[in-house]
Amino acid sequence: MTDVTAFPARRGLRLSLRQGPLRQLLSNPAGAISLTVILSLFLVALFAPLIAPYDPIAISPRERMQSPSLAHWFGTDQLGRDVLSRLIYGTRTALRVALTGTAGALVVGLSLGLVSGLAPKWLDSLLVLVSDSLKALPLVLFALALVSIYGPSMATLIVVITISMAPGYFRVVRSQVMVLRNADYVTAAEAMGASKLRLAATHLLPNLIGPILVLIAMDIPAVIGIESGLSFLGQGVQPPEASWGNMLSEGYAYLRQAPHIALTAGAPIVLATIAFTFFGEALRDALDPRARGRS
Amino acid sequence: MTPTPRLPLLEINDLVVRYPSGTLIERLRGAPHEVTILPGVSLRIERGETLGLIGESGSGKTTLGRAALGLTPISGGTIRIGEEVTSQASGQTWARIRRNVGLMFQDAQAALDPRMSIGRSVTEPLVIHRMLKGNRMDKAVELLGKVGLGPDFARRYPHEISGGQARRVTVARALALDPALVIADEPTAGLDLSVQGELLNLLNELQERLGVSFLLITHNLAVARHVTDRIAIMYLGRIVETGPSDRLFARPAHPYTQALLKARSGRPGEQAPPIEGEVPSLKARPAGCEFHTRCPRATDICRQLAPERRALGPGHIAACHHAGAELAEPAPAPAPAAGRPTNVATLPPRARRSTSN
Amino acid sequence: MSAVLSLNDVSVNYAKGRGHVAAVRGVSLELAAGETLGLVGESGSGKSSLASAITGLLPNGAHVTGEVRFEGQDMASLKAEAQRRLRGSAIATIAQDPFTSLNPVTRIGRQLVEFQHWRGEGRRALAARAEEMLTRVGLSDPAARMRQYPHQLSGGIRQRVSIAAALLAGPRLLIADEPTTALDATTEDQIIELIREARRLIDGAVVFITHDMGVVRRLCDRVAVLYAGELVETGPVAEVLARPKHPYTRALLECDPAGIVTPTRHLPTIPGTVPAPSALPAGCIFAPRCVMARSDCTVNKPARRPLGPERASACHFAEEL
Repeated sequence: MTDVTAFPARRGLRLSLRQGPLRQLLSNPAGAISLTVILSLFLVALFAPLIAPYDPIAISPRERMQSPSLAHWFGTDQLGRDVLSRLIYGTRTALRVALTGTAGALVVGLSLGLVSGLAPKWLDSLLVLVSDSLKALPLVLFALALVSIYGPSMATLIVVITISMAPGYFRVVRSQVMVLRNADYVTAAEAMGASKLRLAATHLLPNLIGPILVLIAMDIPAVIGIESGLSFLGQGVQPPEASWGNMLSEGYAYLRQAPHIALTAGAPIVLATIAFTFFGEALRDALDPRARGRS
Repeated sequence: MTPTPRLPLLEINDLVVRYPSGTLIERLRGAPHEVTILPGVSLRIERGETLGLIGESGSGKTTLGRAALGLTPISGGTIRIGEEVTSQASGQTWARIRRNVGLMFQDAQAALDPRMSIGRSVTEPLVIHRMLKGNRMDKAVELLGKVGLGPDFARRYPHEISGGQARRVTVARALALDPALVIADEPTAGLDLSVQGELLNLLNELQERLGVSFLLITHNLAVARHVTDRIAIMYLGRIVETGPSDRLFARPAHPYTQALLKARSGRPGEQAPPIEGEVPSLKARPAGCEFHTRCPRATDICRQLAPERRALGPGHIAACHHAGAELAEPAPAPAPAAGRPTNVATLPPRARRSTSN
Repeated sequence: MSAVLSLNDVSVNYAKGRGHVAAVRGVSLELAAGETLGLVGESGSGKSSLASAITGLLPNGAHVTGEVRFEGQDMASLKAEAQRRLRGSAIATIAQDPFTSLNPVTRIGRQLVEFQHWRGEGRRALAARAEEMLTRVGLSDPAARMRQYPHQLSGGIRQRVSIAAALLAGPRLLIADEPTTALDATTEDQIIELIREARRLIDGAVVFITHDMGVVRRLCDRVAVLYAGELVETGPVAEVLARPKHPYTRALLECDPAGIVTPTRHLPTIPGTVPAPSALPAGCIFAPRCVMARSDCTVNKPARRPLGPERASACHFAEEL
């Protein structure tokens, strides 16, 4: 019988904890709309083969540079490929680069940030030096240098993104760890005899999740921008694979004859960037206990 | 019963704590490179005893409590807890010492991880030392039961409980490993009087039942008078007077102790003028007796010569040039209990004058 | 003698969900010139809400009902601008933590000058006034203090500076919200003496908010005891502390370890907890925790009634205490 009585209370508590930030996020119009947009982008990317009406790389010379029509909603490009299908596959590329690049930057930045925050001072200073040097590198020059060595490819792109984004995570994690280290509950765990690994895993990491989530959401538009930018320069995702960046680049060449190509390629870049930025801001407010009313 | 060792449970000998200080530019100008928080403190606690460590902010009492657990780097001296002896050199010993000592913080709510349920927080010491047998939540409920909190608390989070309840949780956690000693840093600060009483009663009850020793770090003399066996008074990182609580409250020998006892007592007009001035900076310790800048009895010798610690009675030691003479007189502030005529007790409660507040 | 401050049936309500909860209910008080009133209560008593109602610094979503009169003038009838001017100069507060009330990045001198901007005098005159006030609150080198930043000062000196800032406004009502809880015993002593001094300097009254009966005994003329948002007892300090006429006041006094003569390891407590304003008990609000409670107490709510000159209590059995 005790189980029966204990269950509702337990479920109620879980719901209130889990739904607190989420409900807060959804009650903010910017948060609700941006979350919807982001989820749609993910669905589009996930089900690209099912949604796309045509093969994104199938060339059809007879149908070059057609204006939008019922058959081709967003028209066709200079090689007669369906723009809509390429945009749909481009979403896949953008999100794949954004997620793997951010994940790489996160893993590197988070682990080194934790080490730096807990390590002796000399190691901390060394890591900060390395991080600041990387941050000081001009991104485009650095990317072009890497590309000239390893050749343009998705893999190179992801390495570029990881290296350029990791210092940001490193900085945030390190400064958070420095603050949390002096929190009474961390000192308390230390006084109980907890090892540094345990401190990091059970007390620091869970309390870092909030600020990191926000940083990720804010960083993804920047990563999408990097991908598009490098692809636009011809140094990122290589044709015929579809990417918003190389579509923009190709459309740019035919801006006079067929403006719809560049315009339709630019729109999702703007949309995704705005959506992730607004989502990041809404998430930050939702996770901030000061902004949230106490239950 | 097992033969009890003659050695006190905790023995701190000549403990020195220094912090590096000052900016590079200040150091180049010749300012001192470090600040001495504790210039050499010695202290002992017997088994089952409560020692009250009394001092104002900046006296180093919190640093002493943390240094005893290795949470602050030690520059000199030794600490012995039970059979474990440590100095600045031995790092491995800390883990064993920490197993035997529970720590309670001034801000109980901040000492609990906001993202950890109370049940997980309270059992954490057991997990750390791999001493958890059976179900973690069952153990949590058992530990919380010992401090009078119901089983439903195990699933709550720190922001869902009151300050007094958080205090109880930290008591339960400090006692989870059956430690020989609990260091409690201002355990009642910020609590309402009625809740403060509950917590102190709980600590006393647990001490009677478990035989645990307490190092009670506080600035509240009114609390210390009721719950401690011995008192040590700290000023600028030195223990200026120590002795059995009843004796120290009845016949304080050091002018600083006397000043503390006078403070917060009596009615307007009836009390002595408050002690002058501020606590001096640790970077510029006064010469001679360090209290002389604020001491109403300071003479030339105080300004030149640091006083020796002198014994004034059984276990009663003070570091003051004038302490001997003081002992001939009764306490300046009216002493409670001991040696007072019993008719005091027949007055209405608030008509009595108390020693401190 | 006219009252500096009079509260008539004042309640403070906070919006919560669709309705609201009343953190303070039906408080009536009078404060005469030259008087120091101790407003005593534990956490959850509503003493800070009541203070905010007087200073007009309530958070959003809170509103006050009843009448707050300052020198006979109903505050609610004044225009926002006039209210603000009154609260900026005639009513001054001393906060619990002076660190939060002083700007950390501005020198003390500049802050003290800016506090007096309404005087419309030259900077030099205002600075001279500030220096003089620093001397009056017992700071030995006021010129040096004027050049310092708040973080360079110790807690006691910071509190002196914030008292100086409060007095520079030339207030006729000084509200001190637990100004000594963050301070050490010997410093607390100095600050209490200073506030006693301050009352002589200002031409008005002082409200001293505290949970410490010892401080009330030393500083105040009258005491008002709040419990769970209601005034349970008022009266002259000496009388209330010697012969409390409400069981809560009595219990509170008995809990004070400083008042217990014989050292004991079993300190008195008040069983139970303060009820939340959203879940008040029927009848007397203190009944569930009261050792004297009888069946009537849980049904009929006792009104606060006068018991001799200047004394009042909200207990059915006040005469039996």
